[in-house]
Amino acid sequence: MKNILVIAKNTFKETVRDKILYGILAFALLFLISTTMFGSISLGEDIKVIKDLGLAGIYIFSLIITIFLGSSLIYKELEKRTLYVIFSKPVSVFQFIIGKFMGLWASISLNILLMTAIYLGIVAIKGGGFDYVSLFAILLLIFEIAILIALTILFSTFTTPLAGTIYTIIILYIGHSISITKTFAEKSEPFVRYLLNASYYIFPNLEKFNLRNDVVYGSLPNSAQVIYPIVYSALFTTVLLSLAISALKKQDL
Amino acid sequence: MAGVVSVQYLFDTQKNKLPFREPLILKPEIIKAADLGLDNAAADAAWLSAIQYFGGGESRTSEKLPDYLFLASDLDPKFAYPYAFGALVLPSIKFTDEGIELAKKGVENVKNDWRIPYYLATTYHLNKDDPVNAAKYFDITANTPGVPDGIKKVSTRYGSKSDKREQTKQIWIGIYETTNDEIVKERAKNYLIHFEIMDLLDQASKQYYKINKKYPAELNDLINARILKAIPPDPFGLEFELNQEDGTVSVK
Repeated sequence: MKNILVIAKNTFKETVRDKILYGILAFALLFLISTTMFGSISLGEDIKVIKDLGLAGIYIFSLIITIFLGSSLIYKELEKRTLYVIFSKPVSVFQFIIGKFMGLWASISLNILLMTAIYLGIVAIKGGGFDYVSLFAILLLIFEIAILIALTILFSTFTTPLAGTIYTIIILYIGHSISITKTFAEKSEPFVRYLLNASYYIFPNLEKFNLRNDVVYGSLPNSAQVIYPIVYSALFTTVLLSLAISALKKQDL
Repeated sequence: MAGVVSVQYLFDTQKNKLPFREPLILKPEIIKAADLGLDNAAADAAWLSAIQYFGGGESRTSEKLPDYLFLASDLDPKFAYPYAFGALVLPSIKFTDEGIELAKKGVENVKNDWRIPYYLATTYHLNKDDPVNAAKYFDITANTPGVPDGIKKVSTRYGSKSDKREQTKQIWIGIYETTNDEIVKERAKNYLIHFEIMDLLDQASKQYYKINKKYPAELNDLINARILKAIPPDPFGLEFELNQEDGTVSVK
């Protein structure tokens, strides 16, 4: 556990110091502030527009940060051969991967919380009060990001950052339109239906984590809408990290 | 830097010379498949585009406005204002049926916004001359939670006044007093000015009758008789005419 925490702490420090992160974060904050301008030209719908675009901005910029930082996380260690130094010490692949995951997740969560604080401030200043309902959407976003971090770590163990980025983006799109596969499956022939149904369960269903469209109208999610996605995220992340561990173990280190 | 500014200036000048092309509006299914679940944000983008398109005035017919509003409502069915806006504005650009269809969809999807049934009732009253449907939606308005008192009064009293013009004026006063939307407010103001002018001409015609024991043959008679200095211009550019038998004013 100590080794995991040391790796997590170092990963956290390393990613927080990354200059790319500051660049993306600056754009994110600029975007969040600019939502007030979009709100002002919306003919009286400013709070709704600020909330929609604000939550969308937090989501998009979190994805960008995740993909940028995650896709090179392990690859960098392999390229710089620092991984050999780490494994020469009493550190297992399991500890290394879990530590990396936890460090990056903490770092990205911190960025999400920073963006959320700005978002809540803007909504409050514009007269929308304390938008606590949006915090449920942010909570699920953090768990969605956990899956994506695990995915980028998995790709980072066996492919280049560019390829990893492309694969992650493809899975991200599949994950958000996976319900279409279910609809297609119902109308397809038995064999195709079997394949489509299998892909429906294999790919991450990221729409489970999407509360953004509801919280804007102040509707509180029920416990199932929050608990199931968190459990789903924990299980899916475990599977992906296990695959990453076995992929890294197979490498000649 | 000067070069950059010059190129930008030239680009804008050339762009302005090009004829305006109506925008291509994607289907909601396509947008939903590509927006990573950010349907509300996409609906906002459609709504903001609709305002820019309509307010920009580049399109003479604003023929794509219904498409923009339907797109916004398909992407975010709970987004109330595009329904209300469409109900009131689409009939003014000859899309009355689309405005009604959109507002009916809004009444189904959004239960707590009085503006949608109120504007829909206004459209039935003004553009369809359909008092039955107007009364139906005024009734829904009066029973919607959060409806302002003034609007509730107008809605519940609908049909109790024999004077259609007075009734219409009250409806527009309600809209004028409650809307934050500049486009709708301007439209309400123009309607109120329009009815004020008609009232003024009516009164002038009656005054003419008192003096001359007959109604004026044309509006200029009111100026010649020094009752009015001039005929005020109608905000919609409409012309008025007088009924010589009872002196009432109507739109030509």
